[in-house]
Amino acid sequence: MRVWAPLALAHLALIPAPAHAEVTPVDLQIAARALGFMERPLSGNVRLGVVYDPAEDGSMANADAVVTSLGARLKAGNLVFEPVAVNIDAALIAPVDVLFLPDGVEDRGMKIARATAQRRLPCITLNVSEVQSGNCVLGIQVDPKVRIYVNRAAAAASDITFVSVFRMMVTEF
Amino acid sequence: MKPARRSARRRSLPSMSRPAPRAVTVVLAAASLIALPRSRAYSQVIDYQRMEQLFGEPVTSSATGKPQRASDAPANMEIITQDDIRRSGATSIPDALQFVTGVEVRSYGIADAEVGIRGYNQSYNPRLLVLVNGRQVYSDNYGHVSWPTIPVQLDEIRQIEVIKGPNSALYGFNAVGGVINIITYDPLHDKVNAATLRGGTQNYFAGSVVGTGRIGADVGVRMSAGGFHATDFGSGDLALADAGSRDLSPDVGNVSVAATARVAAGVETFVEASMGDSRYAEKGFADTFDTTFTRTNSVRAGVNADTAIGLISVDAYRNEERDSIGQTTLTDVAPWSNQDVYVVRASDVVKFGSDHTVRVGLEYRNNSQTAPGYVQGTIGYDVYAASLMWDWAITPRLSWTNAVRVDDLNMRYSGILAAGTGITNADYAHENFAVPSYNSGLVFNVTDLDTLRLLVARGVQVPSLLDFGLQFSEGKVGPVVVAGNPNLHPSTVDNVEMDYDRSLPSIGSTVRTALFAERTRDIISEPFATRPFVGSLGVPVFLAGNVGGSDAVGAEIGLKGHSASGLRWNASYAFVTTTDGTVQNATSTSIDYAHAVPRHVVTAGIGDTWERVEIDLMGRWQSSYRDFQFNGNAADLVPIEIRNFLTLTAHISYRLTDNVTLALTAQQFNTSRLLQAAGPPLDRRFFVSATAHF
Repeated sequence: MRVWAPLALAHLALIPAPAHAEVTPVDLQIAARALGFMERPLSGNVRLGVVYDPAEDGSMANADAVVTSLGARLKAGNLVFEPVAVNIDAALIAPVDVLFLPDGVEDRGMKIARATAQRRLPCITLNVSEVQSGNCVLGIQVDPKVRIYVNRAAAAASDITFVSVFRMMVTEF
Repeated sequence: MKPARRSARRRSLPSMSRPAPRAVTVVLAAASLIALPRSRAYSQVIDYQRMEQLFGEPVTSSATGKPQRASDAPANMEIITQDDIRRSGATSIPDALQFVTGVEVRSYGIADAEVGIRGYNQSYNPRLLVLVNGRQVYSDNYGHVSWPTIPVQLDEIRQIEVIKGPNSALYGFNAVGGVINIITYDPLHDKVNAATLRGGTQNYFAGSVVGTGRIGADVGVRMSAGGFHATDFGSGDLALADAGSRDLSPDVGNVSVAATARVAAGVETFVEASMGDSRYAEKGFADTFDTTFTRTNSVRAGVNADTAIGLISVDAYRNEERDSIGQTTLTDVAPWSNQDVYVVRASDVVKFGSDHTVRVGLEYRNNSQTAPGYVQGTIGYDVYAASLMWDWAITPRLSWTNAVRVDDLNMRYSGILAAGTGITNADYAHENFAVPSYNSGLVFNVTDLDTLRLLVARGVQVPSLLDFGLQFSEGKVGPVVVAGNPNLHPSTVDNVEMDYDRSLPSIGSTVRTALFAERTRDIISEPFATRPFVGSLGVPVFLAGNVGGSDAVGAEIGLKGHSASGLRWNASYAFVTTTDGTVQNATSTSIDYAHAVPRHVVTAGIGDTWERVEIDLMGRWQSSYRDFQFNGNAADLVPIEIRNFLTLTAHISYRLTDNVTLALTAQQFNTSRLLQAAGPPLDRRFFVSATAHF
């Protein structure tokens, strides 16, 4: 892999990193379906913690906007997401089942990584660089083509395993 | 000479018991031992529907054996979905294929069709491998596919996967022109209950039913049955001998049952069985028309397991085919043939790290054909094969897949050889060969909208059992000897290809292009097409032979799209040109690939959905080409120039209730009678159908 690292990095540059991506229900639909390929899949009502960083301007407002846009209960695949904004400093104790990283928390992504590892929580994001860096397990891209990204180390740290078929069809870091 | 051209089939269908090879038992037993599931394994091995919903496109494992989305496959693949089939108004699988870019369907009757990919189509086309869920339905005895005998109802098909170009590195012999894998719904994961009644012109009446049931939470069973009766097209200008051989009342019926059981977390076992009985007129071996009677049955069982050491699949199946022709002037020949095929396979697909997926596969095949009148005994072969596939995700956007397979064939023959050919039983006993094949594909997602594929492949076509073992002694068909040849070489097909796909989200469409060049070596010819020599009996001897090579070059471009409102469209153009370097008996061969391909083919379709109504219009225009026809007086075939033609199909359906749909289909509605191949002209056809989903 070392030989190909420059090439890989060059191509990673082509991966769109939606730094200010707007979260839509479709994104969560795809995320829910992807989470369905965990070996121990979630089911039923799932509390979705939309993380914000109070130290970042606009982060909380952004999280609130995401929660509002998704509604109180969002049916996605076999799951019903119940979005709630979560302070990044409370990520270790917040009563949630899944963490979602919107824009604006990149600088403290490591904190999320620690929280999800300790709590064995799945973390999803639309920001592929958060997956690449290991801060989040699952990255979702919907447009123009659905692409799924998984960080194996982050998944292992969170004790999350995906079924083989799924692993063969997604991009793993 | 006419009788000798007939395929060896008869109504009488003697039973032939044969114990399953010990290997079948051993492998099935081993399957239960090696399928060690993960400790917390997920409950499903592969679920097409959920994968399709996730990625927004069909998924497949037909290109490499590795599950992947269709757009990532290192192969030029077209997938016909159930929606496509329904909207096309197809009454058969070839109907559904005729509008696919680069695919040619030749109808030689109401039931008989030959399907070719990128040229080289002919009656009894040996270059296309067809499978149902990976089980071969290609007949090794004659080297072709009998489409009506495929025991699948259209309502139970999830998708038809069309791979263009060689893919022997996964499938082995005869995946040279292409592969068509018909994928049915999974009895455990997909609930499909449907009944269809269809009636139409040509006294056509068809019915099918598909039912799925669950036994507890972990066992799913699907049963299907269907068939049709019709009056075939009139014989037109066919020679009297051909016309007289066509029974104009085809009957086809098939039943099947499939069950999948989840035996542990991540481990599923499955069993499939089918039976079929058919009678229809077809253009057969050596280009003469017969009425074919075929009884088929198959049994398959296997295990799929998601384990700590990868996705393990083990399966074994047996195909049995009893066929004959009902009308023959070959009074001295018992015109029946029994074919048995046993296959045992095992594979493991495992992903190493984040970038490497490897598939290893082993396969054993045993087939035989018993035909006292034609091979004067029994001929068959054993094949031992090993394959390896390596898929390397070099970067997230660039992957390289390499696959190689070696098939080792060992021939068997017991019977009475035709005298005077110079061939002895020792030639059969010593005939064996090991042939490598490969596929290599580079897939580069240049952007999220652009995909580039560079493909290189070698496929291998093995002679049919009749090409190996036909035995017509002097006097049986006149003062000549006609025989198969155990010294035939397999034919190889090398293909290089560059594909470029571009998504056009602004108009909801995708453009797909392909450039390819293909070289065929050691073309296999049936005995009559070779130049005879004078044998030891002093009479001409016709031996099956390798008669040279052929090159093909082509290009394809297609656009397909849809709008959010339900409007859908497609258009394509395919070009292929072929040059031959063959040496044959010029008066009795149909090997003339340079002229026997329509060089230009244009297809187009448009459709829309308004609430309860669906309307689709499809068209296909193709340039002229040359086909061959028996002249009725001697051994000769005469070329028939098929003029360019346009055929249009319209389909309209109305959803009467949430469960019942009525439909009207008009095939070839633009002209009342059309000669599409060297066979009977096809009449305009209308169908009405009612489908209930329950």
